[in-house]
Amino acid sequence: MPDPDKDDAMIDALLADVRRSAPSDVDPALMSRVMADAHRLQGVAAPRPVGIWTQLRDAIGGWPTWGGLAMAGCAGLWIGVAPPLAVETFAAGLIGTSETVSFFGEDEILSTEGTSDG
Amino acid sequence: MLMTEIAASLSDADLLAAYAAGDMSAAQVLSARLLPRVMGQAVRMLGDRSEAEDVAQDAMIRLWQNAARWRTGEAQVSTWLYRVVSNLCIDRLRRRARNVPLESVADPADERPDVVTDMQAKTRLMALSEALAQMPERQAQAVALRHLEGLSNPEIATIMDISVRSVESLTARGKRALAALLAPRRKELGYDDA
Repeated sequence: MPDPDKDDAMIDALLADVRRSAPSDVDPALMSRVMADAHRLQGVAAPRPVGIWTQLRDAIGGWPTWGGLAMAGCAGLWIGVAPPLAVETFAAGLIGTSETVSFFGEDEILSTEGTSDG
Repeated sequence: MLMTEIAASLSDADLLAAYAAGDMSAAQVLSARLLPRVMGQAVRMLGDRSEAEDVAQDAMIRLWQNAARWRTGEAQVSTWLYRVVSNLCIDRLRRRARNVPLESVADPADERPDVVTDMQAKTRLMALSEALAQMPERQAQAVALRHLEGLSNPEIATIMDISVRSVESLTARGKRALAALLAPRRKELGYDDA
């Protein structure tokens, strides 16, 4: 038949025995591993000064964002310099084509007759 | 370079700050100071020295990683370490309870003579660890911190981030759970006359 008092006494005795007998000495090999970790992680642990370019880069989103921006810039420049036919057609459909109307004939503009005083 | 004698008189937080600033002798003093307690806590919860060493190393790695971000006055290094070691041990106990049959837990792989020389003590250590693995984890954590580490209820409340009343409740229920799990093994554990 279970006896709660007896069980409590047993648990108290067990906890006290384990607390007293469990070893806590540190093996020198463990100490060496811990110190090796400390050496390895010291660079990680030390805070590095953050420059203005680093802050700007991080604010925008890091190197991947810069790469995307550079690619978009190059593509825009290329389209501006040498627009593909599809772009021209699309632009014409969107905003129409421009026509140049001259009120003077080309001969009249280029001719010097009648413009001299003499 | 910080001299070892001076370092020994500094607080844990000061030593951690010195390590973060590049002083390896501070890390050495800190390890010598903290590692035995970390190791003891892990052995008492896990009952296996090899696993306890892994936990101790892991806990110290987390300490080094947090050195630069440590803010003196916000938390005590020892309190933080109790929490880290306790959580790491509970994780391992959970995995053990899920994956490993109890028969194989009761027979640890580490058979070095210095683990626990007395067979009775070894059996008790493993039995307790097995029981902790089967208990609700907050109860196991509270019982281990109270009765294996000897911490006060307010200290445990800080470590577990709960109220003192909750600690009292967890430890009481935890001890009842332990009794239910281990009472049938009374004779095997050598408490027949207790």
